[in-house]
Amino acid sequence: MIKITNLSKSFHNRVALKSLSFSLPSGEKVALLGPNGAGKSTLISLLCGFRRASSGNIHILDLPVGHPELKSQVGFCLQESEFPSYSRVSEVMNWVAKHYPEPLKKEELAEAFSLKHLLDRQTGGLSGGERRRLGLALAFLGRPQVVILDEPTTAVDLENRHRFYDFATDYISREKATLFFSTHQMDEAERLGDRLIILHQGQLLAESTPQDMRSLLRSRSVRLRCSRDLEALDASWTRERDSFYSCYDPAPERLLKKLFEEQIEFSQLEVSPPSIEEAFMHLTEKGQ
Amino acid sequence: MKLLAHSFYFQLIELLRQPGYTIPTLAFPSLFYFLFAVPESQDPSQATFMTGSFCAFAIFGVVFFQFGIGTAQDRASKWTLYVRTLPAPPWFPLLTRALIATLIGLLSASLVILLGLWLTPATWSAMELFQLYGTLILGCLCFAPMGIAFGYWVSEKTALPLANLIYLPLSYIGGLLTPPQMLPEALHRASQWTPTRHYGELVWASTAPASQNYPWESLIIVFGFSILFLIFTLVGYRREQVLVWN
Repeated sequence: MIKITNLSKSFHNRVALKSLSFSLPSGEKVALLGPNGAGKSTLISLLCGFRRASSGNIHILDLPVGHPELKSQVGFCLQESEFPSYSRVSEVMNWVAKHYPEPLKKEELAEAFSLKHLLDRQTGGLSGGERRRLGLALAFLGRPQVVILDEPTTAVDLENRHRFYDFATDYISREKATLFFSTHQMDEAERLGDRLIILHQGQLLAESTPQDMRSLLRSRSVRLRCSRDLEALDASWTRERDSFYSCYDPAPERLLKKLFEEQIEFSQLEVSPPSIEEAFMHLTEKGQ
Repeated sequence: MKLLAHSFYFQLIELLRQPGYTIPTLAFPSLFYFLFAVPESQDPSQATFMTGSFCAFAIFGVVFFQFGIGTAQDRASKWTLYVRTLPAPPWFPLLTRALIATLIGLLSASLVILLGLWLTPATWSAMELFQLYGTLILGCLCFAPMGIAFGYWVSEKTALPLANLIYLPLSYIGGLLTPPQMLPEALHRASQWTPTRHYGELVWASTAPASQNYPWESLIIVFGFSILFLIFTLVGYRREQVLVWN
């Protein structure tokens, strides 16, 4: 459905994406994760056809991005949802639906995205979350084979997030379509994604299942200072600078208990949940 | 064709719901006509001439305010970006804008004509009116690239003040607000270089007696300006693609 081959994108001297390759089969929901500046938005804008790649290829449904035939088969929700302020929600939906041969029913989407009571409201009067829900509904309106969403649930409340997850999951399985979405929220990636693609500094850092990521996030990051060689004691420890050691483990008590048993003195102990970046980094190390 | 009709309706409704924008756009040329032309329109030929001038003034208003400012606003709009992802040809939104702008231009000019009929001795035969409206439509189409080029070269924030800064002096120098022969000598000479003057010649000729020669030279110059601004539009478009999207 989506195939990205050796994709690179540079802005003057800055490399935004570097030799990115991966593919997404039909029926799969894939989350694109990564810290700010990782290249997520650049990748989405390339998929939308707004930007041109410096090198490499993107094919969607076996057609190169930008091919006119693709437009009727790909639905987008961009990072910011903006609409003609004086048009009503129903008018915007009707107008967008006119572009497609077999659009979904407006009522079905209005129900799924809690827009029913807003259909007669002018879009200028919508809240940020309501605008976002309309943007999401429009992405599915044309009955697309590929749905690309940039941070889909920004400003959307919890209840409506779950309604969206349910609708998207049902739609993708019913239509055998592909969903590709970028997000900063791990819970969203886990809830909606079958697979996670993690970008870091424009490169593919890791591909993982939500289960792997979940177990990583359950782990704890432990850091302490010790004059003994802890790497020799347990392979979980990694030596850092200035006699510091760190480890990343789902059960750090086990490691600390061992230190006590061996009567090894240590100081400056820190135990903390990992950041997404740490989890990403750990995934890469594991991959290597 | 169905999509074009629906898009036209969609954009028109959006505009009509903004009376604060639509009414001044429509009424501005009529107000100027009422203030500056009606008191000077004593005899029928002069009244007809001045009414034609202010119709041309209305068309240039549409060029700057609909095409120009509209394009500058579109460039900054996320909605426009979303519309680019829809299955319609890339020129489609432009065509819809051109149709809306032409309609607004014709409505705006019609208000001037109605005022002329009501308050001045201006008269037109059916054929003259037909020719006048034909020339007004030609103006919208020929000068659309001028507005779009303007919209591509200025930012959303500077578009409105700049449009006012160009529109009024250009109309004045072109002889649309006061007959060209009444302009100071230097401006009269400068007038020959403006698109407004040459378009004015076409509008004045559309209601002039059949015995009078048609200003073919002005028609060619108007087409020349159209091509020139089309080039500016394409360069502006390319520049934006390189600066913003490359």
